[in-house]
Amino acid sequence: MGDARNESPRAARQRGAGSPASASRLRVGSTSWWRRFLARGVFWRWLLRYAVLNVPIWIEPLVIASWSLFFLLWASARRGVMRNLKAIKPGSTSVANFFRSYRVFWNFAWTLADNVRFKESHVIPDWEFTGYEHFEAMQTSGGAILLTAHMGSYDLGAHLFAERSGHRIIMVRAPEIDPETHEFEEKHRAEELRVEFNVKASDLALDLLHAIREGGIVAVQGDRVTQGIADLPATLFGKPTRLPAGPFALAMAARAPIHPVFIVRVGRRRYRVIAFPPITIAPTRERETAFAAALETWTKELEDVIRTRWYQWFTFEPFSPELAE
Amino acid sequence: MNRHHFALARLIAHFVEDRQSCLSGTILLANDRDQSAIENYSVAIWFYVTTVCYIAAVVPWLLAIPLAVVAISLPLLSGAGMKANGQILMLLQFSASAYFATASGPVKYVAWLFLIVFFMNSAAWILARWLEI
Repeated sequence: MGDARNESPRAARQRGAGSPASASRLRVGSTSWWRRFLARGVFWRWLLRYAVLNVPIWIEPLVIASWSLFFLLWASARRGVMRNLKAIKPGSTSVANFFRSYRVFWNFAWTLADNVRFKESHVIPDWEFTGYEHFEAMQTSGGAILLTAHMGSYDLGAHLFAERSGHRIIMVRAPEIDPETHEFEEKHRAEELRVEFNVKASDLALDLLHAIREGGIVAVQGDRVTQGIADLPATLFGKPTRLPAGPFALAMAARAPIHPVFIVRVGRRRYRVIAFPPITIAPTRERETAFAAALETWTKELEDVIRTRWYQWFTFEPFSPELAE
Repeated sequence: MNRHHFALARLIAHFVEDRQSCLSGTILLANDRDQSAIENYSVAIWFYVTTVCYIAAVVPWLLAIPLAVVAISLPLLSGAGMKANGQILMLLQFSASAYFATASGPVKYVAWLFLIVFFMNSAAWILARWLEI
């Protein structure tokens, strides 16, 4: 074992420490004990891990049902889901969307539990495939970008892919807001996966480019932007929004295809991989036009999947500024 | 491949279920004893409803519904692990059923149902071991 202080930043990330830049940023801010109990605090992750290790499987549905009710008390998330539902299902009533938000939390709780169970006990779910030929094409190709959304289980899907294809998977995700939660997630993530935290676009771009050129798969969630990330204007469900520009710029620079893949939960310990045909972006001087065309395809596929599986879209903030008003 | 947890369900599946004829090129099934959705949902609902009935024998129904969740969750705080907690819960429910089986009122039918299924599962466990299922 080498001394961690002498490691290169890249080696540190491969070891699982996350980006040093992101880690230092995450340490900034208050770490008062009470923050652990906030919605994004580490207490809930501890509790979930405890539950996964201690709740008998046959009583799990009851525990998940009661915890999903508890999630409903998380007012800002509930309001966020209800506002998004209003756009996804035009003309829907607030009462109906209140109950629909319970269904979103129910699926979210199951997904979290399945994810933790996989990490702790390597219990894998059943898998179904839609668009299997596209999924297979991605597995046999060289480096590529896997573009997905906050649906189902990201980690489980990446594990499935890593196991079947033998490709290296690099997951890019927004860091946890709470530093203790971030540390917890780092400590308990699956061993096979490398996770990069998308704190600042320029921090990661070169690393990801190298990874794709070496035949790796970069998995990015393309349905939400966080602060400091380059974005592109888009329209989702008739509302203006902003989606990440990174995957499209990376695809152009690496001359690699973008594979839109969604992992949705279809039942207890059962997930479906929905793979769409790859989106290719040819290098051109007309970057904006090329990005706009690719973004339009992505937005259409994203809308199609969300419209039919709204109860799987784990976006707890209004996706458009129009909905936040 | 048996994807059921309880001996009774394993035995039924062994004789009744079509042996994974649904397997095709686009489905990957996990080989896990706890994979049956219908078994797990049925047991969870049945266990919960039984607990609600026992608590409702003492307190009003409306109070019994949330109290049953608390009553089932409390033993899980032992931290003894998934298997031991399952055994603790079953033992507690068995004791409560034995108590309510002699009570007057409709709750005794709920208790007898639990006891009958419990003993059927015990018998199925012996049979399943004999059949090496």
